[in-house]
Amino acid sequence: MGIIRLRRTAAIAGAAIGALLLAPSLGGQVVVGQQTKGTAPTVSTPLATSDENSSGSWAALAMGNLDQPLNTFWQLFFRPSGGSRWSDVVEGTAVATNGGLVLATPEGGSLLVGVLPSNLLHFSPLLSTADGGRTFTPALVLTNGLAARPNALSGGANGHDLALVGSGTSTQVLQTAPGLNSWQNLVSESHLASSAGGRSCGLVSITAVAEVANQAVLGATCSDRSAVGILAMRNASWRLVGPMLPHSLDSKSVEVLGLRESGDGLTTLLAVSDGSEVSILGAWASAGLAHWTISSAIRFGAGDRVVSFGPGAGLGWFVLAAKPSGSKSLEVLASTGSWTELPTPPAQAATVSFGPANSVDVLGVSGTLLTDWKLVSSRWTKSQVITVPIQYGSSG
Amino acid sequence: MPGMSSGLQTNNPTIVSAFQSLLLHQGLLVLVILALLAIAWNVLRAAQLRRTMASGDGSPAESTTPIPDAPARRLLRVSFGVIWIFDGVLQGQASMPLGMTTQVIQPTAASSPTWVQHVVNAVATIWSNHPITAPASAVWIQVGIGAWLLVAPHGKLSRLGGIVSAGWGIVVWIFGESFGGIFAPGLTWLFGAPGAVLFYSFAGLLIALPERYWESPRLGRSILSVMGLFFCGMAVLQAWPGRGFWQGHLPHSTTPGTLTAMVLQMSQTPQPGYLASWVGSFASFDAAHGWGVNLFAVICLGAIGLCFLAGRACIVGAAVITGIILCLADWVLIEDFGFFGGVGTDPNSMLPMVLVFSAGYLALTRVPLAAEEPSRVIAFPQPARSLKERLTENPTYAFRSLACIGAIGIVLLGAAPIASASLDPNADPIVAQAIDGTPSAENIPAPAFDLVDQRGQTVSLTSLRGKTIALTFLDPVCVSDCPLIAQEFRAADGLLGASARSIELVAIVANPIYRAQDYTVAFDNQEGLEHLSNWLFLTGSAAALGRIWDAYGFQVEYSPGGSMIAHSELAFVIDRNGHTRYILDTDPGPGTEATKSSFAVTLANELRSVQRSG
Repeated sequence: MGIIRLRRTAAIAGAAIGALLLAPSLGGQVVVGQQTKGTAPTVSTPLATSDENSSGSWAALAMGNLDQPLNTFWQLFFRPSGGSRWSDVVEGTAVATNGGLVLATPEGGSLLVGVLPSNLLHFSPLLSTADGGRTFTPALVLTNGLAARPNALSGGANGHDLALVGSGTSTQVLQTAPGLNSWQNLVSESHLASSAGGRSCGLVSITAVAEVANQAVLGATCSDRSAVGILAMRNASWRLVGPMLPHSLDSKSVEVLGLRESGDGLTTLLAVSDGSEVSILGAWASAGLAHWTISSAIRFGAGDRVVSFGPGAGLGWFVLAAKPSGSKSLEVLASTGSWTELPTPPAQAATVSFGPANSVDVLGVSGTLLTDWKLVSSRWTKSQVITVPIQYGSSG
Repeated sequence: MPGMSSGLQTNNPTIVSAFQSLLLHQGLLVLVILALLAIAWNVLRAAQLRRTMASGDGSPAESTTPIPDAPARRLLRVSFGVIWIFDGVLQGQASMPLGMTTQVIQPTAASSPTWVQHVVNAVATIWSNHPITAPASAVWIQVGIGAWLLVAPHGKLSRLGGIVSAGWGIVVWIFGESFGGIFAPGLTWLFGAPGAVLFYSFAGLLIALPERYWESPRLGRSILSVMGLFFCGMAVLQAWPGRGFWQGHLPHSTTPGTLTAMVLQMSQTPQPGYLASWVGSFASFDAAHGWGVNLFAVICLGAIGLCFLAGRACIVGAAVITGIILCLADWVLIEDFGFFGGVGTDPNSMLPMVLVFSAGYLALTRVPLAAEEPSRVIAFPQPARSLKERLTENPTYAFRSLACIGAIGIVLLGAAPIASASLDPNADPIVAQAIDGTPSAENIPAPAFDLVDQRGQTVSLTSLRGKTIALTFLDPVCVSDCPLIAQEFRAADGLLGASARSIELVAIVANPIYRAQDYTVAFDNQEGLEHLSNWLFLTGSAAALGRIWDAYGFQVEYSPGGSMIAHSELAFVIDRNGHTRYILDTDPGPGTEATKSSFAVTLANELRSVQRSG
């Protein structure tokens, strides 16, 4: 009798074990068997960019082994005004740059560099140079890490600086001024979202900061289909000061990609998404930000990826994009409001720099090599190669 | 230099040497146990002889005939005894102390659900904190269980051995094999599902059954039924589409299918070249004929399972032979024997599985003589006899009892240290020593310093007279080692308890650029040091810092290419009179919880020692 009971029990136990073994495996099968959906168009906000001020041109690029975060090192390159050759000046930054670099070019030819958090470093060191990177001076530390946006830092006139810090619900904009020994809160993302301007555009997140005529201007992503999320303080409240988009741009969200001061006015680069495609366009405002000019739009489809964007000639912008095939395209927005496609840049292209006399350089990266191509007679001509002494394994 | 940490390789000589030394010491203890048992055996034997002489009979008393051990039970007991001893020997491999968690436990758990990882992590933490004690314990526990099964053929002690074997098997199955991976995707019989040690436990439970259960073929049918259901379930699982087993490689791609990828990975295991060649050849064969291989496996598994369920001796016999051939082929060509590579813990599932269903077949077809011929009289030990009488009258019983006690002693020799160590949440100092060596003892005046702390107060070595100091150098914007070193200092402060009141933990800035007070404050906030009353992060001018770095023999240099400042990693324990008494290397290695805890223990020990010595 005992044996019979044992046999039944064993059979039931065996069935239970079998079911137990099958359950997770079959559950996992459903996930494995799912079809990959079509890739939605993305407008990532790449940090690779360039900037220019009276001392020369600057570029910030990721180098090294880009598949490994701790072996990706962001490098700073400088080309002095009037010069034609780039130099690697990152050594003096004295901090690991695995997280990325954010540049700001205050008036007066200096450069403000923000280092993004990485690995066990959770705050952002800041430093500035006024001599083309020969010497760096630390600036007030940002105890909350800089946001990973190319316009997260703004060096305003007279030492009034803005910084976009934190992520998610802790995102906020900080400001500082000469004589202050710490950064101070200007506005948090949640506060901005509940302001008059934030509510009217359906503010999703802050994406960029700039200072125009000593006044903070913030760029944002908004869910309202026609409102552009550019906000400034008006009558003690944050209000929309950006343009309204034409009805021809059917959008689900509008993101301010780039924002920079131009004299007393402002120039901005916008990404408008309709859910399947992304259109990128520029807009300019003169002093007071009351009157806006909007450019035509270029469209990017599924799988396209923006590799870099930044200031072009005058008030313009450039957008360097990669196709799913890996080939690159370079579109330049002129101050006239129209886009021009330049010759197909080399596949290694990582950013673009506009220099004096309408010169255009494409900077390409491969491991530790930086290559500079110049546009000569509608062709990209290799002009310089720099081997950066990257110290692999030094951050992990 | 930060970021250039040496890491902690599995063949670290400090750890390997300490592990082998402990095994040697415990081995000597085992010899002592055996010697004591030999003495006890001699005493008993002498008593038996005296008793025989007194009774006037010329031969030793043999009042009982040994109970015949059922062939199936004997197979399980002896074979699993040998396997446990083999597993114990594998646990003695030099890579086990540091490789077990990083190369066995954690990778196995990685694909399992989070709750499994939490469960497994409990034991992984104990192993990481006590990397010498834990593997040595595993060695002796498994050798002891194996010996126990071998020397105790029947009776309560034999059945108890089965229970212990089953229990330890479950422990290993849960914590070492992450429940045999049954909650992870990709489960397959071909690779050892549901975990080799589960068969050890099943066998242990069978051994623990009352011996009368082996006197009937019903137990054999039950074992075969369980195995039959298991094989059928595995056949269904193997046949289930979409799991990657039906393809040698993924459609329109060179990406290998599930089985091919698994076998290719196994072929990379360090092993004799011809074995790697066999396994690699099978991977190539499966890549080319994945569908056929899987169909063959499904048919074999299903057929074997159904034959076991049929329960007829002739059908089961054929299935057993087929099963043995299939399992051995899988063991060689797919599981790759399972114990190569330096961190192999057992010969994987095929051998135990073969033993279990073979035992089921024997239990079905070869029941003990007593059951087959109930008329034959067997003299069982008289239950009324006392233990003393049995020990003194029956030499075999006495010998087996003493051997069994010895085996239990070996199990306890392994179990006691790890049970004790698991109560200590801190890691052993040996882990830090493996990375940084032993602290160097000194007795020289510490170089003076005069700097400003994170609160803006001036602090000098003179102002700290009367306190024991742990001094180090940290880069406030360091992304790797300095935050770990700061955490180790904070942990050491926690270990010191009340005695930390007379200790100052001091860091001096090790970056010529980021040396402003707001950076030391930011670092303190980042590491949770802002409320530590005896923590000082000192800074000063570049010139002042440079002089102090030089005076302490501390190197600071710019690194090229976007790297952080490179600097030495040292800590100085300074006594209350301003003399450096110990210099510690502070390379945090991989920065795991175990290495951090171990360094904190080492630093706290040195601070206590200097405090006591004045």
